[in-house]
Amino acid sequence: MNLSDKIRVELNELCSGLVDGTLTEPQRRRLEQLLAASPEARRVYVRALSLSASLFDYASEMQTEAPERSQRPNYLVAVRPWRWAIGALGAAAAIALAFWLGGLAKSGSGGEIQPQEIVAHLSGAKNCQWTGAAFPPGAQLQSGQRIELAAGFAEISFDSGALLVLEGPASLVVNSAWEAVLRRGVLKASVPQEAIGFRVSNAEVDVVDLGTEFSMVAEENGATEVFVLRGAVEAHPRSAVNSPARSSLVLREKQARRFERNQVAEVRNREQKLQRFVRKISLDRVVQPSAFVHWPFNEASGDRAAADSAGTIADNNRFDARLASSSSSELTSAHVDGRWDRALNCDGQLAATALVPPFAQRTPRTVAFWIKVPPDASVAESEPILAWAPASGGDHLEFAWNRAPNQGAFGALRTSAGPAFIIGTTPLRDGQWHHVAIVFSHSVRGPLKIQIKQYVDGRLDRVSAKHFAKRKAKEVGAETTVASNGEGTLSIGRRSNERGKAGFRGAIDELFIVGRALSQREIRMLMMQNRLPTPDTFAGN
Amino acid sequence: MNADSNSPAERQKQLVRLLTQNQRRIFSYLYTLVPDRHAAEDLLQETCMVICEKFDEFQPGTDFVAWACQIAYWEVRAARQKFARAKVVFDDAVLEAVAKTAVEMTPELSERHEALAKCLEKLHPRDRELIITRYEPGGGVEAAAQRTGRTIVAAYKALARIRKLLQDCVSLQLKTETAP
Repeated sequence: MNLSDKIRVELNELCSGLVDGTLTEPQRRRLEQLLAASPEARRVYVRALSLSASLFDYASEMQTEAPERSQRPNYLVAVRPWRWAIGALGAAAAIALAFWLGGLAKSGSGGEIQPQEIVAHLSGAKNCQWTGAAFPPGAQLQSGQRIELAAGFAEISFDSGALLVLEGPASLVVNSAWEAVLRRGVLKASVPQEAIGFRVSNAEVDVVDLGTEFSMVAEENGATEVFVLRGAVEAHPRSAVNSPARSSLVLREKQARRFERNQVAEVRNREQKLQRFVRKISLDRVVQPSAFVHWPFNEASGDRAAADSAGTIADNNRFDARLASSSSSELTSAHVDGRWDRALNCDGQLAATALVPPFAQRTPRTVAFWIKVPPDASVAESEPILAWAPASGGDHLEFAWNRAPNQGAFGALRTSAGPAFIIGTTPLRDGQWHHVAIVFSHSVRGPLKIQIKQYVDGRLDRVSAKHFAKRKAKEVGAETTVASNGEGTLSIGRRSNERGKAGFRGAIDELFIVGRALSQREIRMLMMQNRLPTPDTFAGN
Repeated sequence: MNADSNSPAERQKQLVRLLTQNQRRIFSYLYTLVPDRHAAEDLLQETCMVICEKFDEFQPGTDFVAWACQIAYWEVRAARQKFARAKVVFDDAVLEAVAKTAVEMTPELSERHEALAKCLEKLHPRDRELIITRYEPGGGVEAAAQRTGRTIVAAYKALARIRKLLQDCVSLQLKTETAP
């Protein structure tokens, strides 16, 4: 029997509600009734749900590197990722397979995903004893990584900015920059505004943070207690779909709930337990020293922009930038009020050039700066904000705002590494100052590949997850030596070798190039205080 | 002489190949029965474990997806008992009817999955951004709303609209491809 158009519309709406988790109990019953009554309704339903399953798959692929193929070029382009063969959804199967092939018959449970990229690091520790793999302070944590802590405290900083302190005995799976699974044990989460939406889940409950501090205690039997110390969280009982009290709970300051076998209950001795979580724990931390070059652009006039530098590459005046303009205005408009003191104003004609700091080619690094793009900036005035041409081998790096709407959000930050690129989501072309930081770190996919993260205004805006392949300089594994005159040339505002073509229009301020991958907290500090952390910066938190 | 196709090494290769080729289909089947991403992924993992353990029982040349879906179905039934219905939305009779329909539709669903790639490319970038953010790992409606500057309510509506667009596009694509 064919369905009427009206019923089809209704069915589609019900399926949408089911997929998005907004279906009410009467709607669920209605859907069940339709499916029970009509084979055609079941086909419509299966098509609708399969569409969503396919979308999970395609969206996962955008987060996953394509499998190596001999015929592929050694870079990945973000334009047509749809055809890749293995998405993250395959990870569960891959894990099962690994267990089986490894002769281990025990099933892992929970939704871990296969390690793919670095999403967090161990930022602090105290008296840690590990059951599984031991993590030294500063250890990078990949998605899917399981942390088994027998005793002590471990602080995990997620790339989103969320901070978890785990108290042993505990077992946690780091799923992504935005999600962790607490299998058992105690954790305390501090989630800054940039990481709102960070989620901790387990078999009993999903806790979505709304900007807060909360604690979670997962007992051996699965029962889980959630305590809000500050702000609010949204807790979704895992059993909620069919329980009468279906809706999720918003827990506010000092509130707590216990989630156990489909029941949501008050927590016994709540006050007493809350007290325990409020106490501060003094953790041992490692803050790596930073080698960096910083162009503050504070000059009021002239054709130089002085740079200060620190760490192993410190060198007076060596990195100072030279300003040149192809127009007759002779740099009169090059110095304007900035985000911090003065800034460099690029009018499409101005080019500033400097030596690129001589970091070893494959070391992680961070590029951070403030940028203000006029809302009427034309596409011809989009690039490059910065262009980085290495002296020998390696890809050219360029930072611009995206002018190709078919490739990603128009006006958002675009980082190109050779022919590959990623595009953020936050439009920059609004006449406001924005802080951007681009972090290049080692990829888990091999020494020749890098992972790129873009932060805008302190928030993780985009992770490449396309693990950019660095071009092999001369031969595989050959480490490019650090040339004494730096890695090459940094052009600001305009490519120095391009004549007659307009460059970037907008202002740039407080450019930092740092010789390591900064964490979200460090980027936030750079944004708020215009300085890099010292070893005691985060002590006592 | 060819290597024995029943040797343990060959069987292992065969299993890896079949699972790699078909895990997306098994996930899709599970998600149809348990419309919760995390629950379906957990069940996929459990199912894959059982498939590995029982692979000796699989007859080469027969329909692997149908065999795997049968295992997946029993995993869903077992999960229901274990978690007191948890994420299983429908009663047993409807669950069974839907499961049967899903298996019968496997070839069509594979074609629809392929066609969807083209339809995603045709989407307006803003719509594509929304839908990808909604479905990507760690994403969701809230993230999608935030990233595309919509309210949550607007994002729900937009998602429903885009899904309908995609569904229509896929159907049209298949019609065009099968037209004489």
